[in-house]
Amino acid sequence: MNSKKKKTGILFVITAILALLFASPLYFIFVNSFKPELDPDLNDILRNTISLPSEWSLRYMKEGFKSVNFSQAFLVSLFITTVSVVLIILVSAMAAWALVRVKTKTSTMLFFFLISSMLIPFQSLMFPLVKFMSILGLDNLFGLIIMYIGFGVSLSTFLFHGFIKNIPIAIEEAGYLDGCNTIQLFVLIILPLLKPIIITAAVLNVIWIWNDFLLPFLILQDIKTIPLAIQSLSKTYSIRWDLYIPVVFLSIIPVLIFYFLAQKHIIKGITSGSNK
Amino acid sequence: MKQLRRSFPFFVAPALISYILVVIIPFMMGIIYSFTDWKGAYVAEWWVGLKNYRIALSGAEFLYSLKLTLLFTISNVILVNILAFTLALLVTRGFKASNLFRTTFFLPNVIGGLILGYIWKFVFDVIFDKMIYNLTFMEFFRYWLQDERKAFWALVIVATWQMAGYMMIIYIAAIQNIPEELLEAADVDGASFLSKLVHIIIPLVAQAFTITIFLTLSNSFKLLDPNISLTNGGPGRRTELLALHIFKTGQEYGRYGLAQAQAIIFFFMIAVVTLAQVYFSKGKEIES
Repeated sequence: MNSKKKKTGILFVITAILALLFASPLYFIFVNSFKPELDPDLNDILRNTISLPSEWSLRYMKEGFKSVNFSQAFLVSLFITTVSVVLIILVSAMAAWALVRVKTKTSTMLFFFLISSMLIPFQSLMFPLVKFMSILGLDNLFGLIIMYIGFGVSLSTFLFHGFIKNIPIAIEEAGYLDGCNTIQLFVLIILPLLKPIIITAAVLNVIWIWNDFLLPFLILQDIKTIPLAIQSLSKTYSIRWDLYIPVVFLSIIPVLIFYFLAQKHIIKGITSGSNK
Repeated sequence: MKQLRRSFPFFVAPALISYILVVIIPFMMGIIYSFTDWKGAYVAEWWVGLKNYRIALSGAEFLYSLKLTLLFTISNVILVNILAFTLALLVTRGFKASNLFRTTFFLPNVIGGLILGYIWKFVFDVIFDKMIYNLTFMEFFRYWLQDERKAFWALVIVATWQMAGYMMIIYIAAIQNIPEELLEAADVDGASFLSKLVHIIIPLVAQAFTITIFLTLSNSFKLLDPNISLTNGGPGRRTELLALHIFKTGQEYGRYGLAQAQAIIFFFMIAVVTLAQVYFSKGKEIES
């Protein structure tokens, strides 16, 4: 028994060390964001890189905040993410419901057509996409949201499709008997039933869109999302760590808050998304 | 369900139209453009037949990127899955802090690839090179992003750090699905951990391996964001993975036709590799 306890103890220590290793890069960013003299020559950082700041200072946090216009980038990211995710969910749930309940060859074909894009890498269509969208006059914020819908419907329709298949149809038939039309039925009965999978799909889409760099980089001209704001810092020749560190730290705060709030759903999302 | 049948187009159209506009039409355009000398917005394109494909497949830099991407993908798939599976085994042993560990291991996954790259650039450039090297003078800590070999492994480390937590979650779900009685019976028979692992755990989580290997394969193949922020392909173009190579061929060198041909080759490679993997592992699953 004693040797078993010992073994568990050793395994615990190994796990703890691995966890520390995993967390350490984030710790370095955290402590160095608050150092009082974060000059470009890194003097303060180099003197005590991994220790806590000798005195907690918001000086460089403020400077970084201003240098990338962080509040604007935050609002832009928030707007794009919220609107896109809401629309992806709505549009995908509508499609998935119709595709499950109307059992024809066309539905099956359309379903496979819709999810087949999971095989297409973004790189193989990004340049023509930019060209096509500028022809349509959609190379702007509004167009970006439409693009997120187009790229997002595959996964979300797939998730909703699997979920709706397991909802007994009797509930809907009762709705019709009560005199609902299809839109009422969808809004009043189907959407509430889908709540668990909506949360899952929303969480997965939020993480993707919030962090996406390449698409907004190619489409947006003068508006910046958070990843674009960070990337704009790299235009200077050598890397200014005194600006980078606080900006990187600022930009992971919203993600961390979201992660701790939605953690349960993220894990559920991954497991249900992988049950193909 | 007659009512729904009548309004079927209304419900399906928004998804279908945006999907066709954003994915299908550009993808088709991309195939056509790969046969032209497309150079950007203000120049007319001419049909050049297979020329772009010939240039792509005989270009030393493209072939180098291709080789590098294959090496990167292989290293990453192996490391991510070994690490993720080990983490899953560790956090399902019922430690009190298991949830905290799980949260920590998954954390890098919610941070975007671009930011992850910058976080690690700080670790490699400042902590390793400027701090630890200056204290210890150990060559190991030097030039992680300047030496092409080390820079390659730096990319693998970042990608592994990013992906392992996600795959861990899938492994955990699979391990938790193993019937308790099976493992208890093995304990009664005095089976060692290794024999439990080989005879019970691995065969029963085989399905999870199909998914995790599929995901790590395609994510490693398509990796771009950390490549931009960590090395931006440097030193020179020695750590330029395919996705970044295609991006630069178009964005930086303005050779969109060539970039498009490279992208179509890229598409076929991913399709062949991932479909072959799924086919192969599905076969394995049934065998075991």
